[in-house]
Amino acid sequence: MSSAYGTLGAFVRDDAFMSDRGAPPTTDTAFLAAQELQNRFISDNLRRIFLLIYRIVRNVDDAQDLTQEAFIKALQRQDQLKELDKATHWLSRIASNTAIDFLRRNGKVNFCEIDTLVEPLSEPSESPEQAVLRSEHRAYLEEGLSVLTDRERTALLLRDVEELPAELVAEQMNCSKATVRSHIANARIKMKRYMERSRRAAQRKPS
Amino acid sequence: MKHPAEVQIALFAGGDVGRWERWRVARHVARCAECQHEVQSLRDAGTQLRELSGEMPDLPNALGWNRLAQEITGNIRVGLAAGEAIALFDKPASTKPRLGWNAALLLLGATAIFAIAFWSSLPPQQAEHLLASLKRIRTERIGTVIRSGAAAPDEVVVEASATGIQVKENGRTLSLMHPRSDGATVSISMQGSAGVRFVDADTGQVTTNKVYYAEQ
Repeated sequence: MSSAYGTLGAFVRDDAFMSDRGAPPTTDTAFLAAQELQNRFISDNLRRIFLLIYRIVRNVDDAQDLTQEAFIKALQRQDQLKELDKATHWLSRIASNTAIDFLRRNGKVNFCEIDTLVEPLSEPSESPEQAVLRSEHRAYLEEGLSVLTDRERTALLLRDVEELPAELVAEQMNCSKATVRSHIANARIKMKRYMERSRRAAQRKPS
Repeated sequence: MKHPAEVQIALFAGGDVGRWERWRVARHVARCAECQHEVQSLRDAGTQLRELSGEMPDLPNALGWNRLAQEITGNIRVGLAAGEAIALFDKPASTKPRLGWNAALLLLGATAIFAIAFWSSLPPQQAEHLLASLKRIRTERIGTVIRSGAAAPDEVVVEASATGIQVKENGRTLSLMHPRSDGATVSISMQGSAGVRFVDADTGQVTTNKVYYAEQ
């Protein structure tokens, strides 16, 4: 047995059934502790990772599959999971890479092309105030994100929500830092314009 | 006053410009109310984006997050267990050293001595039977055991081939057939038994059929 139980040990061990044959009780204790640690790692990060992937791929079913894939990839590479804080960062990287790969495979998205900064297509259907009142933040956000291209949305989420440095975002999107800075800038400008239009629309509507 | 480009302001608002550029834009923004407003709007939009990003989307079929989380967690566990199970089969082959030439020669010599001793200890009639059987196997590529002497009509013949095992006696035949398999191994014994061992290509299941002849 070679699992490092001090970190995030594996679920399946070579001697997983040894307890029946009189293995030392400490082995099982260590195994259970590793399992507990792994369970906590999943539950602590599941919502965040699901939401990150969902915002990139914009589909619940795909987000579910990709979240599973990301966790399995991360937990299979135990050498990368020695410390929990680093493991969390590593997991985010795997999650965004998994989502980006998915978009590449399915939408043939080339992340290294630069989009022109055009005006969003439509007026927001509701103001942020109404959205708050009706507890529909998500509709407001999703509509805002929908004015961005896949590459702009991915770059913006990684930089401004996940707060990764632009260099890392470029690395994950596999394109130059200059291109990623362009995606980030365009995305910020589009989101700002969307929110400003929402505000103006809300002011125009009678209360 | 010349304003910095909109893209520059957007990068400046998020701290994504180099030191020189930051100093240059900051100097302008400090003196320009319009650009200050622009920077503030961009920062507000970023704050709002971060706040709203924690909102859960509408889940299909009124599936609550807790339920979905349980499902995802369960699938992660299954995936990890499956990965571990597959890894057991993909383990690299043992790196034990191969048998050296000296040991191989020794083994060969011992086998030859044993074969000669076995052959010389057999009664002449049995030795003839063995020789005849081996000859048939070589020429007909089947395994045949003949209980006594040549295959006379009243003799019991146990015959094994790649398609099955047959017992022939007094003109009657009992066949134990098996599915066609490229990997069938036919075996016979001097005690009057014949066997076929084959592998099911779909399931990997190994089946051994062995038929013994017992004198009453």
